Amino acid sequence: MASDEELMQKVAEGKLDAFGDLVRRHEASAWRIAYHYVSDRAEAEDLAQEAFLKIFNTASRYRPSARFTTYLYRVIANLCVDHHRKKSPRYIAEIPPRESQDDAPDKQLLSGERSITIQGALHELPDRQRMATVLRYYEDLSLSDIAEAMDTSYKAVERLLARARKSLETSLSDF
Amino acid sequence: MNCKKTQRKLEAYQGGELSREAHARVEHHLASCAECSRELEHAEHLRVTLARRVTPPVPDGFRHRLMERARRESEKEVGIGKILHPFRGSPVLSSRMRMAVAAGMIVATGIGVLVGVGLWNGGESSRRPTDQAAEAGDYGLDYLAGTPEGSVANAYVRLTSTDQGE
Ligand SMILES: [Zn+2]
Repeated sequence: MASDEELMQKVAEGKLDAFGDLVRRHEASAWRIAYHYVSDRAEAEDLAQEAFLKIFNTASRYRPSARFTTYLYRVIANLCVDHHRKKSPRYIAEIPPRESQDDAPDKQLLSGERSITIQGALHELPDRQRMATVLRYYEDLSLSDIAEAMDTSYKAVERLLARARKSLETSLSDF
Repeated sequence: MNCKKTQRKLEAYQGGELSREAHARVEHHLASCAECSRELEHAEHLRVTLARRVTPPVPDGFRHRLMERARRESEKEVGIGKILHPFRGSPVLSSRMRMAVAAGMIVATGIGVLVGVGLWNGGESSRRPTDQAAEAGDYGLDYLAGTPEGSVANAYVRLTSTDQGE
């Protein structure tokens, strides 16, 4: 199986199939990051698509010196943080989807309420704390990977995550 | 190691991402500090809490819509190729007409160059290279900033990188 970096070389040669393979491999990650960051499905789709298109359009200048995923995380993290800075949105709780069809209705309600509360707590965080939190808790990135994705130092990520944790612990203390 | 530093290291400690020495230092502090031990418990609890947030599945048709957009983008790129090689793939033009078209293009190009030079020196309508360098830098695409102003590559970068607005 071709590596991500090999696929990127093919994308650079204009091969749409290779791009399709990359999207298939990584769409879930891009989507997860964007969704947990903006908490809005339509916006999250826009952002995830923009990230892939940016990568597609600049593929001819991609150099495989860094892992493809590092590059993807960097593009998506930037788009998300920028987007929200520009838009300075009013946060509206989105009704989360049902966890599974088998759950009893009361259990579904409970999990929905939980998701909304967590969503609200994440939205109270400043942009960069929120992005670091999303990359850490929903994408399971190491601190050094987060540092690369957010173009900052390891120490700065430690601080972002420690501050975010303090705020979240307070706002989610009832859980 | 003091409490503040220990608490900053807890995230990497939990994830097993510290060097052996650093891990041991945190462990040593935790053994004798109730406050930091409590903080570690809270951190573990927070991890469980956040994991309860549901991630909806990737929307239906996501990839299809994306691939459509990519296809359109790549056609745009082919479009640039056609401008650069206007006679390729147009066998219907007679050689006389080609001559006429070529003459017209030379005149048009001449006017274009004159207008272009005028604008260039005025500099009002051209995007400052520093803006573009900054934008490229934002996305970790520093190598894009290296394309010379006015080059075809640069024009392409502009076409493809301004869709976000400024
Ligand atoms: Zn302590």
